[in-house]
Parts: sequence; C-alpha cells; structure tokens
Amino acid sequence: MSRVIVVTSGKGGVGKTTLCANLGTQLAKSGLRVLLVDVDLGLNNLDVVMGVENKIVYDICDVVEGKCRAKQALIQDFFVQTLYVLPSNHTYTNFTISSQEISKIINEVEYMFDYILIDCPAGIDAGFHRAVASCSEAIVVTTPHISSVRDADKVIGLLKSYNFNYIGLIVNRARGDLMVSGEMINVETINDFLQVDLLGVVPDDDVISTQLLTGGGVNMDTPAYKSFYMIANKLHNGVDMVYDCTKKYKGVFGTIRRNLKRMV
Amino acid sequence: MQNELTVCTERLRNVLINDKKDNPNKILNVLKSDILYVLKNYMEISSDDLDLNINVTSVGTYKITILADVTRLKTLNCIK
Repeated sequence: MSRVIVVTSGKGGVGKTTLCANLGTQLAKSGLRVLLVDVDLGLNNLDVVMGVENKIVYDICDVVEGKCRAKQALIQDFFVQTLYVLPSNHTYTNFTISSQEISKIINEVEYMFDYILIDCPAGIDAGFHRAVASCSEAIVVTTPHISSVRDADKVIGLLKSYNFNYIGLIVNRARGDLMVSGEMINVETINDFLQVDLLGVVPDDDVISTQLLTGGGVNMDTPAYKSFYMIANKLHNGVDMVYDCTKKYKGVFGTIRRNLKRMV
Repeated sequence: MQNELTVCTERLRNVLINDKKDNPNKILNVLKSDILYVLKNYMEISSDDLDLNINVTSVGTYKITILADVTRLKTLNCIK
C-alpha cells in the first residue's frame, strides 16, 4: 500500500513543485519507489523542474481520454531509477479532469510505488479539490511571509474537512540570518499559529535556483540538500529532526557571518 | 528590528483571527441542528430554546457557548 501525499500551499510561488521534486528524489535515493504526479492542468512545471520535459510522450489527459494506459505515461528520472513522473498536459485546452478520474489513475499505478506525491496547483478552487480528493496525507508549504502563512492557514482549514491521516508543515525559503536578527518571522511563531506538525524547514539556498537550470533534484552537499534529506527521513522513518537554519548565525562567529552577509 | 518583528507578528495574528471570524457563520446553523438532534434524545427542546455562539478569542482559539432552556428531561429506562 503506497502513501499518497498531496503537496499544497494555497499561495502560488512558494516552492511546491521544487519541494515535490526534491522530496521525491530524496525518497527515491533511499531505494523507495516514488511517483510524482502533476495535476496542474495546462500549467505543468514538474516535468521541467525534473528535467524530463523532452521525454514526454503521453500526459495525464491522454490517460483520462483512454489514449494510453497510466503505466505508459510514466517517465523515468535520468539519475534515480526508482523515481517516475506523471506529467500534466502542456497545452491549454478546455479539457477538465474530475477527482474520480485522478483517483482511478492513482489506483491503477499504486501497487508499483511506495510513495505517490501529488503536486497541487495554487489556489483553492476546483484544481485544489481535484488534487486533494485522492490523497490520505498532505504537506502544506509556506514561506515566512504574512500572505503565505495566511493562505496556508486557510488551506489547512480546508484539508481538515477531508479527514487526512497526516498534515505536515514545511517552511520554505527560511533565512536564518534574518530570523536571528529579528527581521523575519521565525519558524516557531509560524508553527504556533498554524498548529500542525512541523515536517521540515528548507533554507533559502542559491543551489535551488541553480538546480532549476538543469533540472532534477539537488544532489550536492548543501544546506538545502540536508534539509530535504531530513524531511524525507522524518516522513519515512519518523526521525523527528528539523533543519535549524539559524544555527550558523548564532554566537560570536554567527554574528560576524551575519554582518558579513549584510555587507556583501 | 525586534520592534518590526513584533509588529509583523501582531499583523499576522490579526489577519488570522479576522479570517477565523468568518468561519463560524458558515457552520453555525448546521452545528445548531446537529446539537439539537443530540439534545432531543435526552430532553424536550425546540430550536428556539437553544442559543449557540462561536467566538474567536484574542489568542485565535474558538470559544463555543451553548445556552439551552429546557423544561423537562426525558426519563430513560436504561438509567437507574
């Protein structure tokens, strides 16, 4: 029985797709069979983030229309053999998919995977409900900004009505230096407001932008890589460790590092 | 900087509390009907006798108040 998890946020541009790609990569690297599903119809980005956009033959709409079987639409990742992507359609059409059809596709391929991560579209309209309806667990992504936390709060309220087994929170683009100097809302405050399990913290790291140039998951020894590893470890093994992005900015050396960063 | 953070945290708190204030209106009637259904098993009560309020506290939690005027409890055979 695979774990079907939706990655959602409410607000757009907080890093759902990037998180989905990197979390999937980390899980797959530990030998788990992982499928990433893009249900953002017409605005597909997951295939680009994963760097497999040129390998697409069939997409999710073709599966629904019966042009192919779900298995035929799956694209294997270049680097991690146990990681697959089910892309969304890349052209705008009036074609819509119901939540039942998404559930049917997931049921069809569920036996092949340990984890199915669904990349939810931004917003809380039909696309959100379509993505959420077939999942039993949810990850809510937010950034340390008021607008993003507010939207995350609304999304958590909506998710509660779906009776999820688990709702986890990920704070993305956390700036440790700003949190220590009191210029950014810290992770504890966000978690106090939202009152869900803190699954992880992803620091604001240049390597993520670099990763998007070539596609695929972050595979270097960087803070972002460590944070994704910790999130995957907590999700799969239950190891309750969250990346502390403020650690290197505390103390005497931390103050020097912070001031240097401000000067540069 | 700490002052700015305090202002920001307060803004966030106010935004979230104001958002929560909209929610009770949506479920109030449904919740009242459900509570009435349960209470009717134990007492003689009509919709007018039940006063249900959901308020948001200053820390962002909900406070639910149920006030009911009941003239008679039902005598249940199973209770001795």
